[in-house]
Amino acid sequence: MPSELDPIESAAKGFTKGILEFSAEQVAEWVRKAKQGELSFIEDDETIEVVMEQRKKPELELYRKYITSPELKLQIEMGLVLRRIDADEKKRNNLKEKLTRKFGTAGLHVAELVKCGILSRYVSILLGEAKTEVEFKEGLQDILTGIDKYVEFIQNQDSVEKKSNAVVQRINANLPRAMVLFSSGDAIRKADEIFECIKANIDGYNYNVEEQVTAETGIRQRYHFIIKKL
Amino acid sequence: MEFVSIKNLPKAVRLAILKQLGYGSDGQFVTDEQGKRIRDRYVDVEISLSNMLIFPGSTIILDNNYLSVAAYLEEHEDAF
Repeated sequence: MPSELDPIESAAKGFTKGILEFSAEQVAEWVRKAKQGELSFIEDDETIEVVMEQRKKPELELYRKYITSPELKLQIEMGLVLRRIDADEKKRNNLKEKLTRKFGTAGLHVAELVKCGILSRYVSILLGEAKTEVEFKEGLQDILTGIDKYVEFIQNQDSVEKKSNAVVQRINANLPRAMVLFSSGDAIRKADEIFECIKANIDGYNYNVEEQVTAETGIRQRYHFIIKKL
Repeated sequence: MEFVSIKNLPKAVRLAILKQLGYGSDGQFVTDEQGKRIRDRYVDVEISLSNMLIFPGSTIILDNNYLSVAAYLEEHEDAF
């Protein structure tokens, strides 16, 4: 018989049934329950288990408290899932493809920044001056809906001159409290060059460089912060 | 909520379940009663017979992926 336990508990204990023997009556009973909203058919436990696991995390609960958009909530949640499945390239790429399909590259970028843990640090830099909860909420919403204004993803094939000029123009136009250049693997060297060019062409900003290595994959990621002087 | 894993169910049983729920299959993908392939409502992909989820709530059939599960739970917070 199917499990009536919590799905996570069921999955962990292997209670969910992979039924090999069945009867027409059994199928009819399952379908009756499904129609009444009492039963779900699942392919594997892992998909639901991973999603439910992330939904319980304080990091997600914090963001959910301040974000009203269902789309942004999902992008953040999928960022945590990306972090969880990072070592599985096939699943990782499949999720990225689905995120891009549903939300476009901006949605994927939100998820990627959550995945690498940089969003929380970035938000604290940007919203450090928020005086009220409403101000914080609006600022957070603004960052997430305009993520590509505040974050530049550096590719190995980028032109140093073109990219640095574009970032300088954006900084001068928007006067953001902070911007981040995000790079990984072979693109890090290019990001370093772009960062130096930007520094030489703007005033009133401080700079900070952080790096992390993904434990599972060994891939280096570098974050060049450009932070407005207070 | 009860969960039945269909991972190891024979194809014939999957088809029987779908038929009783008012769906069908062209052998590879899930179809509606008219034989037209249905699509996952959240990520807009065709739903493979070998990688599907069937959730309650007017019987929703989805592709088995993290985003679709999360989107479903966003709409049906108390589902599980």
